[in-house]
Amino acid sequence: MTKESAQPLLVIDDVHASVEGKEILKGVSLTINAGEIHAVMGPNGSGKSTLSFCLMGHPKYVLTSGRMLHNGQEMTGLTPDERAKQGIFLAFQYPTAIPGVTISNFLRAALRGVRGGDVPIKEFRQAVKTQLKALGIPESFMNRYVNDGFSGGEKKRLEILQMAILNPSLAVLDETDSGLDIDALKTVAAGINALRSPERGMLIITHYQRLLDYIKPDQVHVMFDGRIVKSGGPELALELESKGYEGFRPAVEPVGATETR
Amino acid sequence: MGNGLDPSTIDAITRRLKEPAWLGDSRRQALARHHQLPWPHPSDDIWRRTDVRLLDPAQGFSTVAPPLLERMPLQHAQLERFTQPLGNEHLVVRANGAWIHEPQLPGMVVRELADAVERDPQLQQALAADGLSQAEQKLTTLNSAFHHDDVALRIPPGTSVDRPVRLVRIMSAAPQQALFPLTIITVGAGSTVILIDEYVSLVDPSQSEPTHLINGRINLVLEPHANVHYVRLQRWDPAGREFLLQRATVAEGASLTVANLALGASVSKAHFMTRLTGPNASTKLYGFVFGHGAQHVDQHTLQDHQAPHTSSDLEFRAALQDQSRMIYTGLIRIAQAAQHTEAFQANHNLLLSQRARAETIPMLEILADDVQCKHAASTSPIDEEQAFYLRSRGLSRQAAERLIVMGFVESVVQRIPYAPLQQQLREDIEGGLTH
Repeated sequence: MTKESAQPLLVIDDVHASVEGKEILKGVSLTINAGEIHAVMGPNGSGKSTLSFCLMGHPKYVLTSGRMLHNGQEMTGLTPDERAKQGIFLAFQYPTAIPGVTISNFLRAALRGVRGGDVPIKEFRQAVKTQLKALGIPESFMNRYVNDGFSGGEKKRLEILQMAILNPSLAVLDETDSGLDIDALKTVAAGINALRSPERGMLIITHYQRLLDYIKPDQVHVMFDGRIVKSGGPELALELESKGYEGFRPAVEPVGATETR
Repeated sequence: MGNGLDPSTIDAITRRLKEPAWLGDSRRQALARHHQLPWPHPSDDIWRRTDVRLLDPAQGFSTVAPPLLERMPLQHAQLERFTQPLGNEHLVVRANGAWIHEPQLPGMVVRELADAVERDPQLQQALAADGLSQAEQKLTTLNSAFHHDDVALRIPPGTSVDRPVRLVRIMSAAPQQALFPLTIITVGAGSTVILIDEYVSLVDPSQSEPTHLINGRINLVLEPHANVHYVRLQRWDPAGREFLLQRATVAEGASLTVANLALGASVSKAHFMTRLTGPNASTKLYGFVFGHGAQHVDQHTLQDHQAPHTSSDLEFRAALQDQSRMIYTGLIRIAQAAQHTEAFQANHNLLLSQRARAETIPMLEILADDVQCKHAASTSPIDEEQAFYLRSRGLSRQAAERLIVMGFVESVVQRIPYAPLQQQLREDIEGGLTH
């Protein structure tokens, strides 16, 4: 098992959340310690992405009950940028294009935001150069506009590049494997593995287990209809692969889980 | 003193500028024509959203040419940014009709109109009213009658100008002053040039309401196979009101790229007309408006395809903050003879405040049948998904919005083929953002 620290990195405690009045998360609980990688797997519509947006503080996603604690601190009420400053990072499933804004300007502004002050240009260039090389991205990439006209693989690489530069304590990776061919998947997985560290926790959200062939999680959680229905070790991902999600559908609706709140 | 809208003012201008008799006659004819014409009717789609009385010098404005700049209490710093080159450009500066940086441009001829016409009588045609609507003539005849700061720039055929040419026109404006700048640019066959045409009005800061009127005209003529990048930079003082008629004529095989940037004035009504008169003439037209305060900006464009195998591509953008208002009407007109023509038009407005407003009206008039024609328009506030993405990277709401706006502007700034000016514009626009 991974080391126990006094304070878990992330505690999600019976979280209920809705989007535009519709409840999507119906009581999710999860604890991640520093150094751990957790995977959340589930079929489409099970609430995986909602969980990631809730963690990042998307204004459309409303936490209706429960708590989320990052390093023991309540996250509710924090804006997305305040969460980023506290070390939370979300790699988007569908990163947004910002036409006219170069990656270079964007990354500098992000680093300035996260650190709360200017970053010496020399240090910035050096950090970028190292990471670009590691991710197999040409330097000309920095002059392109953020996600504008990018292929799926380019978008995901840019997400990992940002994660590497911003150096978060908790990284949530939302379907980072989707839309990638096998070579791109390997590069991205290597990028993620390189960022494994005893100080960092990761929550990998995925539909398929193939990313987990490359990134070995400490724990796997199966999500179904807004709840975690089973948790276990890495072997759970393989079980999912053979049985499919149907095998994890609760036979009967858990008592009291229907709309009683 | 009356309002100065009479022949005696014209006599004073012609005397002062020592103009030949024909020019005085032409001025008087223009004024007579102005008095005959009706003001635009509110039923006219292109005019109904702007109160034209605000642009009428008869509403208490003086048409007497302003005195020389030395009599204005201007700060050195006010002038400095316009009298120093941004980079390696050929800089020509004119203040209140007098040269500050004399034009010394190899291969180019810059003169005052009277002088230029004497050598090239054809230039007179630049003042012709053919193809203008009555409403446009009503306003532009005022310029023809009272223009007092004329520049005629000619680039001879077969000239390739090595560095950008930046022509800065500084005008001091007393309260209730009306100004009438006129610019005529002719680029000879096969010539290539980057031209930056910058207009500034400066007021006495001790005046509380230095409202002034600017009725400008710009004529751009591209002879066959000329290749021109033209940037117009409007930096009128916030107390200025503008009417502009900008007309470009693009001959066979010539190529014109225009960037019109409007940063100043309280009211601006501007007509940008581009005529493609010869086969294979092409143009790319970009526009950017930065609306702030209570600004009212009304722009009309005409992509006028008169010949076959011509193409035009237009993209006008506006970023509007505070309670500014933008009106865009864009007409694509394709004559029967203009087969195999491509014409595109896009207008995008970004609303940065709940009180900002934008209207966009595309218009098509297509008489040929084998053409490609498209238009697109959008008006929207800051995209929340873009804002969330940036905020998730640690940018405050304000920093995220700024970055999105600057990205929006960039697609026009990128079209200006002169990096030092690009940088200055980015700084000017970012500096003007109130958020």
